[in-house]
Amino acid sequence: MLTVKYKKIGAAVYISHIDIYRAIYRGIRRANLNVAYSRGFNPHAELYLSPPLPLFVYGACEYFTADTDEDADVFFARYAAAAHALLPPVNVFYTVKNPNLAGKIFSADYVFEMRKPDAEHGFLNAREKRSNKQDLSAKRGEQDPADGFDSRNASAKYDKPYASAGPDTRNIMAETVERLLSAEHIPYVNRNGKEKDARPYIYSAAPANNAINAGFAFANIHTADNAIKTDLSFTNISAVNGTVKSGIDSANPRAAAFNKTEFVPAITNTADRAINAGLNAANIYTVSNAIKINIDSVNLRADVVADELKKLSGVPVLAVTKTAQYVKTADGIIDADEYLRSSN
Amino acid sequence: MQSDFSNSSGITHAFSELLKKVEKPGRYTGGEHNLPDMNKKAGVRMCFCFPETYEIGMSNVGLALLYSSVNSREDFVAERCFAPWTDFADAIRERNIPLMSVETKKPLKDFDILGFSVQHELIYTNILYMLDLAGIPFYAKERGEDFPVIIGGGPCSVNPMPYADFFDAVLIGEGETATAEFGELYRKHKNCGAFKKADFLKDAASIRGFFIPSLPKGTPVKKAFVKDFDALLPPLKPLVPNIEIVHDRAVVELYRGCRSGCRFCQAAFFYRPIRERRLETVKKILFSLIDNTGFDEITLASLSTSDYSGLKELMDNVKPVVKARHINLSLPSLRLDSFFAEYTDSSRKSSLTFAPEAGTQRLRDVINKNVSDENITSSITQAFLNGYRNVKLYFMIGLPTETEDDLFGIVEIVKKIRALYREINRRNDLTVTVSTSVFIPKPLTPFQRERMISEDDAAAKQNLLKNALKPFKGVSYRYHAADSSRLECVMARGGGELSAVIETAYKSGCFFDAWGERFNREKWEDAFRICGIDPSVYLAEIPAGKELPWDFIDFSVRKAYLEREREKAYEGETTDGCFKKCNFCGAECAFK
Repeated sequence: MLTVKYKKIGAAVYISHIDIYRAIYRGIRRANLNVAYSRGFNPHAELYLSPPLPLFVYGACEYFTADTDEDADVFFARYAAAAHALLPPVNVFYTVKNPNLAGKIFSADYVFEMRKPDAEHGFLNAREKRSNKQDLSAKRGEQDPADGFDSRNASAKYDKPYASAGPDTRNIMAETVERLLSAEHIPYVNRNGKEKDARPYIYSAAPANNAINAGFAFANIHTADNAIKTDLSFTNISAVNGTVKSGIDSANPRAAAFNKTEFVPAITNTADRAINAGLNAANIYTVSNAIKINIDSVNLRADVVADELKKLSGVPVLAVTKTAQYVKTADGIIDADEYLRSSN
Repeated sequence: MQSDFSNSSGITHAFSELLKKVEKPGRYTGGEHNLPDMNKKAGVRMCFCFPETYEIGMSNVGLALLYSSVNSREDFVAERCFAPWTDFADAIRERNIPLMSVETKKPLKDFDILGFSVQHELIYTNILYMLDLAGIPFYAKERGEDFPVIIGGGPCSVNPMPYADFFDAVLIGEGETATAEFGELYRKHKNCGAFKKADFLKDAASIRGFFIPSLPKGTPVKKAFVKDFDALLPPLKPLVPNIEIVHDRAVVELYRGCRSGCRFCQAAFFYRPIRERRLETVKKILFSLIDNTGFDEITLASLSTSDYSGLKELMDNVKPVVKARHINLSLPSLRLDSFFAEYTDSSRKSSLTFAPEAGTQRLRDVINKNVSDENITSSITQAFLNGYRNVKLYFMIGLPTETEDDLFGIVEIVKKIRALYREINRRNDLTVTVSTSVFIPKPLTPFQRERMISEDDAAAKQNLLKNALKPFKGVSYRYHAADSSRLECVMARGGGELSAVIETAYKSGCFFDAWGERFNREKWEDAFRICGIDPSVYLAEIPAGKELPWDFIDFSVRKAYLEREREKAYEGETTDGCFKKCNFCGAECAFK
C-alpha cells in the first residue's frame, strides 16, 4: 500500500470530501497508475482517505492510501505530474497494510490565522469599535478592511505610530489563548442541534510564533530626534515563507538598504535588521496574528473553535489550516508521518 | 500561512465569507483542473455567460469548445459565468457586488465581450437575470460605449427574434470559427484607438452568421457552420469540474448533422451539412481525453451514432484501451437495429432507451421516423437476448394527423414488448417506462407551421394512455403538465414583440423557468396580458404564406424543401434518409 501526503490549497477548500475523492481518483487515472479497483457494476479505484477536512479549512497534511504494486517513487512522480493543481502531493510512504488513517487519527494541529492589524486601529477596525458588527459591503475603490492592511493607502491616512494602537495589538493573540485555555466550558450547539462542550477536546494552544505567520507593522517611523520620516510613513513587512519582503518605497535610499529579500529564520533577526537600517527601535515590534491549537479532530470541528476565537478576541478568523495530524499508539501520540514511516 | 495556501485567484476574505452562506460554493470558485492561464497577456477579454447553473453549464459541449478555442488564441482570454443560484444572487445583491466571472471574479461589465449561450427557449429570462445581477441594462440600445459588446448564440439562434434586442449581435449557427473572426475584428477595432461600437458592429455584419439587430434587415443572414469539422479539435485538455455536475464525463463529437430527416427534428436540419470526423481524429481525441481528464465515462456523441461511417472499426480499435483504463463508453442515440448490442458495454445493463415517437406505422410515416414494426420487434428481441430487463419508450402526443388509434398503438407496442420478454426469458419481471411529451412545432422543420394541441386535448390524451396502460404490471407512464411546453412553443415561434413580455415576466419574478417547480404560469399569463399580446397566436397553426420571424435567415436547407416535406407528411409518404442518395434539401453536404 502506498500513502500519499498532499496539501489542500486554494479553491480546493470549497470542495467536499466526496468530490476530493473524485479529484484524487481522476488524478490517478490520468497518470495511468495501477491501483486496485472495486468490483461490480460501477468499478472505481479503492482509495482510503484520512478523516474529512471540513469545507473552508486548508490542509497541509492530508493523506490517501492506494492498494498498488507500483514503486513508491515512480507512483509519486507520475501522480504528481497528473495531480489536480490544488491538491499537490508532497510525500509518499510505503506500508505493508492499509494504515487506516481514517480510523487511527486522534488529534490535529490547526493554525487559525486572524485578520492582520492595521496601523490606525490595531486588530479592531474603527467600524468594529463602534458596533462590533462586520460590514462587508465594499464601496467601489475602498479597500475592504477585512482583507487586511493595504500599504498603498497608508502614507496618506495613518499618522499615529503603531505603538499607540496599544498593547492589545501586541498581545491580543496571547490574551486570546489565555482566555481560551482558562475557560472551563465552551458550550456550542452542533449541527444536529445538540448542546455540546468543546473545552475537553482542546488540548493545547499558543500564539503561532514562527517566521511564516508573524507580521510586522510600522507606521510613521520616527528619526532619532523624533521627527517623522514621511517618506517612510508606512511599511508593512511580512515574513512569507521565511523571506522578508519590504513595502518601502525604493526611491528612498534608507529604504533601499532594506529592500532585499533574504531568508530570515526568526522574527528577532528581522527586527534587528530593521534597526540596522536606521529605523527607531522604539517603534518596532512583532505582532503575531495566528494561533496554533491542538484539538481532538474526531470530536470537534475546527470551525467551532474559529467561532470561539472570534468571540474571545473580537478579531475575525481569515483562514484555518490543518498543519499536522496525530495518531495515538502504544508509544504515545505521534505525528502521522512518523506513524506511516514506522508502521512496517 | 494563508498566502501559502490560498493561491486561488480572486477569492478575497469577503468573497469567502459570502461563500459560506451558499449551497455548493464550488459553483462559484473556479480552480478546476486544466484551467487555462488567466494571467496570459491579452488585449481582449471575453466572458462566456451560460444562463443556467454551473452543473448544467459545465455539462455543455459547446461551451467547452468555445472556451478552449478562445483561450488558445494569442492575445485572448476567455472566462466563464453561470447563472448563480438564488442564495448567491441574494447575497451579492445585499452587498452591492456585481455578478462576476468564475476564474478571476471580474465583474461582467468590465469585460470587452460577453457571449451568451442560448440553449433553449425557457432560458430567456435567465439572460435578463444575469444582466440584472451584473448591473447591465437589458436592451442593446440602452448600453453606451462603457458596456461590453454582448452577443448571443447557440441552438436558439434558429429564431433569435424574441431576444435579439437584448444583444448587440446574434451568431446564427455554429459558433467556433465565427467567434474567432468576430474576436479578431474586435481586436482590430480596439487597437485602432477610438473604438466605436456602432462602427464595429457594422463591420461585424459582414462575418457569415452574424445578425446585428440594430441594423435594418437586408440580404438574408447566412447560417454559420464549421466547414472543416475534422480539423476543428475540441479541447484535448478540457476543464475537469471540482464538484459533481450533471454529465460528469468527456464527450467526443463524431459528426454533425443527421441524415434521417425526421420531420419534427430541428437539430437535424440546423446542423446540416453532414460533416464527419475521420476515424484517426476521433481516436486521437479519445485517447487524449483519457490521459488528460481522468473521467471514467466517455460519450461518443452525434444525432444518430449508428450512422457514423466508421463506427464498427472505431469500436474495434478503442474497446481494448477503454477496457484497460476502466472506462465506460457511452453511445447514446443508437438506432435500434440489429447491431446496437455490439456497441453497448456488456457489463453495464441499465435500461434500453427507444424512441418510436409514434404508436403506429402510419403516424411514424407521417413524421418520417423510419422505424418499422419489424425493427421494433427485432431490436427489442436482441436487447432481451443480451440481458436487458428495463425498457424506456419515448413518444410524442399531439403530432399532426394523430388519432386515438395512434395512441392505442402505443399500448400495442407495450403489449408486444412484454410478450417478447415473456417468450425469451420466461419471466415477468420486465419494467417498461412509457414517457410522452407534447409535440412542439419548431422553426426549421417541415412541421414549423403546425399547431400545438391545447391543454385540454393534451390532458385528454394523457388520461387515455394512463387508463390504457394501468392494467399492465411493471409498466409506468410518465408525462407532465404542458404549461412550460406551451411557453416553449410561443418563444420558439414568436417575434421581436416578445422581448417586452420576457422583460415583464422577469421583473415580476420569473427566472429559472425550465426548473419545473419554479415555472410560474400565472406570472407569465399576466406578462402577456400587460404587453397586450395573445400567446395563443403562436400556438395555433401558422397559415401558409404568413411570414415567419426566422425567414430572414438562410439556413442552406431550402424553404421549398421543408414545405414539400410537410405535404408528403399529409400524404403519408416517407422520405428516405440521405444515406445512399441526396434528397437535395439545399445543405449541399460533400457528396461523393
